[in-house]
Amino acid sequence: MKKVSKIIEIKWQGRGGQGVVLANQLIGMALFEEGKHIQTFPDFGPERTGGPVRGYTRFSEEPIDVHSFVYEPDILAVIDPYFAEDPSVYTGLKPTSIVVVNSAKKPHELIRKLDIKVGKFGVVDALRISKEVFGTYVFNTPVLGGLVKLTEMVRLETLEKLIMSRFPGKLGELNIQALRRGFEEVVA
Amino acid sequence: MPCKGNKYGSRGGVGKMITKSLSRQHRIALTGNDAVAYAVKQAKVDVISAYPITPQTFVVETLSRYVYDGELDAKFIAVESEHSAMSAVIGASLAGARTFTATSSQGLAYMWEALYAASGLRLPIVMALAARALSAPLNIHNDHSDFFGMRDAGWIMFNGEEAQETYDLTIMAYKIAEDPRVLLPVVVSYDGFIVSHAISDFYALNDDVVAEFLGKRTTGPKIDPDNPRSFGVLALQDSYFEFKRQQYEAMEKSRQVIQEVFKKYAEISGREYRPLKEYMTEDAETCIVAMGSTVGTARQAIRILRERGEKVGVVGILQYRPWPTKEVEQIFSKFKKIIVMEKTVSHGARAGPMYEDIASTLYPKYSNVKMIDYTYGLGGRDISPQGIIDIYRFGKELIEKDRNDKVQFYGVRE
Repeated sequence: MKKVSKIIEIKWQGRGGQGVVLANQLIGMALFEEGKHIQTFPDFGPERTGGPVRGYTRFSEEPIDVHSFVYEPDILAVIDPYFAEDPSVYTGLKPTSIVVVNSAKKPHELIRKLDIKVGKFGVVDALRISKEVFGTYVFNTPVLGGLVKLTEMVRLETLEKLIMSRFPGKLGELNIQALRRGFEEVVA
Repeated sequence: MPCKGNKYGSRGGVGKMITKSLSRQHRIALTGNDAVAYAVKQAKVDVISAYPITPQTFVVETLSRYVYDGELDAKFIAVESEHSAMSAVIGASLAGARTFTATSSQGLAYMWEALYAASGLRLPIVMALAARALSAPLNIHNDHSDFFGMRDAGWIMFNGEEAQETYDLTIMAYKIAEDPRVLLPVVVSYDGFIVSHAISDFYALNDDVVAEFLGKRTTGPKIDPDNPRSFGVLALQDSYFEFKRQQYEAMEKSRQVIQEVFKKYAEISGREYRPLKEYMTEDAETCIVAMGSTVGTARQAIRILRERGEKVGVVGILQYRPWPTKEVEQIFSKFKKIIVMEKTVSHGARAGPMYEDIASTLYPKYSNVKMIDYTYGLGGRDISPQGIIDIYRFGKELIEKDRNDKVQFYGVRE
């Protein structure tokens, strides 16, 4: 009989305007480029800046037929630094889940405060990285870099190619810089 | 266990037929909306007219970009409303053009009188519907209230589970609609947001393969100044009934045509479609019935339930009109219990539309089959595999206790 298929589920949490939808799409498309079956979708009401936005990606070696939201993420990325300290964001995590959050705090401080037990917990100081790279607030690509480092689910080059094709020129280059810095500077 | 009538055979991986036909297609990842636009571009439509509405908007945006960039040689008619959009494609279709429009929810409601004109005039129009709840209260998310609302408008109605099915059905829709035995409009519905806004990977046929499969539109009414005829005439007591009888017959004939088109499409694509999608039904005692994206989620639920030893399967309704009477009778008569899941509510009715369709197909010959109707997911309320497992457990128990005489609601606070 057909077994319950192995699907990896990713959840993104942030706010409207922080690039949740885009980061989610980038990781989905990178997984697609590397031959995976994917399903990547946002969960929003009427789009509004500042409101909570979630994004979900599933990937698998097999076609995916589940269409519900992700309730027990294998991978969680939190782009917004306030959400990083909100326990409600971490519901449904498994002992094996990998988490990457945008925060200037140390991983153990957050783990203790949130009282959670996960496989890996990584912190990217996306505020500092984005100020230094862009001179403004761009949180999604630094967190994405950290996520790739901890999960190894795609190659960095695949993402870089996608970023350049989507944002040719200066903007793409800056995003790649931010991505690489997130990759290098994530603390787990 | 085989999953009949589905894109990958067993859904366990890319089947043999796909591999055989791989030279004719390419792997691609798009949203459901963009998958529709891609199919419409490949169908080389002549005229598109639509008005944007969430969650359908991106279909129209992408198509207008194709036209603007010269990738699609079509006339894009921007209009001020859905009523005008449907009217514009009716006019264009009467002039012999291959046409397309797309809408959701209130937009479809606003088209209502023109929907009947399109089918009554016997026009092979194809419409995409990103299914969404109807106001009030205002909601932009998915259910099937709009889809079922057009049930009796005389359109052939399909419902795609995800991007692959929606893409394939959109291409096949033109082949079916334009067949001289049919000449009826076709709607291809897919779940708003859940499918319309989700990027997923699928196989798209190459442009030349679609062009060869569809050819140019040569059938149906065509306004021709050298051969003047009247269309949309006044038909009173002496002739209206005959028009409607012929229209009914065209819908009946479409059953055979749909079957032929599914077969031809399987030959070129490797994806074999059937009006009903069966999964793990062969030895099932209980069957869950669903439509749209829920069918996939239900398959996951069934796999979990099967691991627990439950004899349960799922049937997804892909072709809603014409209702696949013969197939429904054949498949559903063998179950002991049927749990129907509907993303719509029929206020004041005994049950939802799918329940009533199945019940009237089985009765009186198979009145031993017990059924229960569940309304779920209205206004985009999420349904998970666990939710379907719950519905299975509760539904089965209610049937066993003979308490299946009214519609049940799942996932609602009350």
